[in-house]
Amino acid sequence: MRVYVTRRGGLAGVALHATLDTAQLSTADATRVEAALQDLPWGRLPAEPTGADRFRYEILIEEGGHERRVELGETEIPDTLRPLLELLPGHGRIRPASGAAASGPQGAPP
Amino acid sequence: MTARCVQHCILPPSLLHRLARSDDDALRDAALNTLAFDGRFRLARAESAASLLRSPRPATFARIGGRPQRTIYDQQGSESQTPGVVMRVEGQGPREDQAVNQAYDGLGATYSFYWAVFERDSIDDAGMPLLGLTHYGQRYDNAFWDGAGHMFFGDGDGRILTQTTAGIDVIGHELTHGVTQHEANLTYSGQSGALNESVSDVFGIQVKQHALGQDVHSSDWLIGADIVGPALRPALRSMKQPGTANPYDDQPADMSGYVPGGDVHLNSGIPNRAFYVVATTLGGHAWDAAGPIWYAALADLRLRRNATFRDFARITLRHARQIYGTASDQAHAVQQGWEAVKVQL
Repeated sequence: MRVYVTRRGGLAGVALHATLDTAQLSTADATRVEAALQDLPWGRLPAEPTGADRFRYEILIEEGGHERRVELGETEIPDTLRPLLELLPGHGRIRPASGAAASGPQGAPP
Repeated sequence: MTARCVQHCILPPSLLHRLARSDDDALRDAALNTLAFDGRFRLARAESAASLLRSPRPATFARIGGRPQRTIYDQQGSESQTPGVVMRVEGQGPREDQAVNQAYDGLGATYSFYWAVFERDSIDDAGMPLLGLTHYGQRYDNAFWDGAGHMFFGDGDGRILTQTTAGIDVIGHELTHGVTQHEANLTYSGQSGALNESVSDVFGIQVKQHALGQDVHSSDWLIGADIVGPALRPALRSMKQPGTANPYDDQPADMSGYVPGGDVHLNSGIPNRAFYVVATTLGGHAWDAAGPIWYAALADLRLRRNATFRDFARITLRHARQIYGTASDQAHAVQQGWEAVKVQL
């Protein structure tokens, strides 16, 4: 199952974007992640941030030709979803905070 | 030591207390007199300060400020939001874990800066304990303030960030979010959010400059230079030239580049640069005048939670004029700073 994740915020302020696939995970993790995705509060407006310099995750999936999107603060991420999001720093492309194309080398992981 | 010397010298309360237990009557009386006088002085000052505060506190002073109360914890790679294993308490010597020691030192440097420059006794100006929670998460490329009195440190992922405890400016940045929370409590989105972020960079960089003895010309005005991984070198942000700190830095340097709805770390480049211009125009150390002007603005009751850049700029100018005079170099520097970033006063 394909999941499009963009992480924003954090002390560094840059964005991190990846097209992830639950097939990248172990079977057990993939099952838990897919179950967790079903239960996300799709379409809900983002909550007020608590504290400062915390991440927020925009998660997008395609289901039956429809796009489902939600933005969650890092404290709202269910534990069962974490194995998917942990792929992000290693697999994600760095983007500037504004979302514009980077002026330097593309932020692909080594 | 004569009784007269005890009354007119600047002696710390701890020494006076020891003298007050002296067998020498004259010495004991002199010490007690000095303590009573000192107590009345502190009470008057506390009452005066309390009357200007947002939420006036009773002018009790069971605590005489000047000493931090630090505790450093190890979160052991978990994402628990509550303190884990105690690793170092206030007054304890260095441990084997370098991240623990760096966090301890950075919290101390931040406390020392606020106490030395503003006589602010910790984040809440009432001796709030400084709590650092290290080794949060797995290869967690971030550090943050949780809004409930804790600074969390990730170990970094090695590409985006490295060990976050190594950044003394980063520690100053996060703890300043706590200071802002207790002062203007700027809402963390829109222009007020960018101001909130900028205030943290402004005082974070001064914590580093103060600890390293840097004046406005020897500082590099870079945020996060000590914690960036290869992807974000040389730094997260530049207060001197926003947008040039790394290949992904697209902070605007003035209002013509303002991004509506932009992340709070993006538009903070504008007020950051304003502070840089004010401080470097005046020379010396950033906390000679620019820092106190910014601090007075942050603590000003008129700075609302949803303040705009313009609101903040006007309050900085008002304080520069009040403290230094309408035609002062400091007031002119503040005008120049905001003009340089195209914020209309």
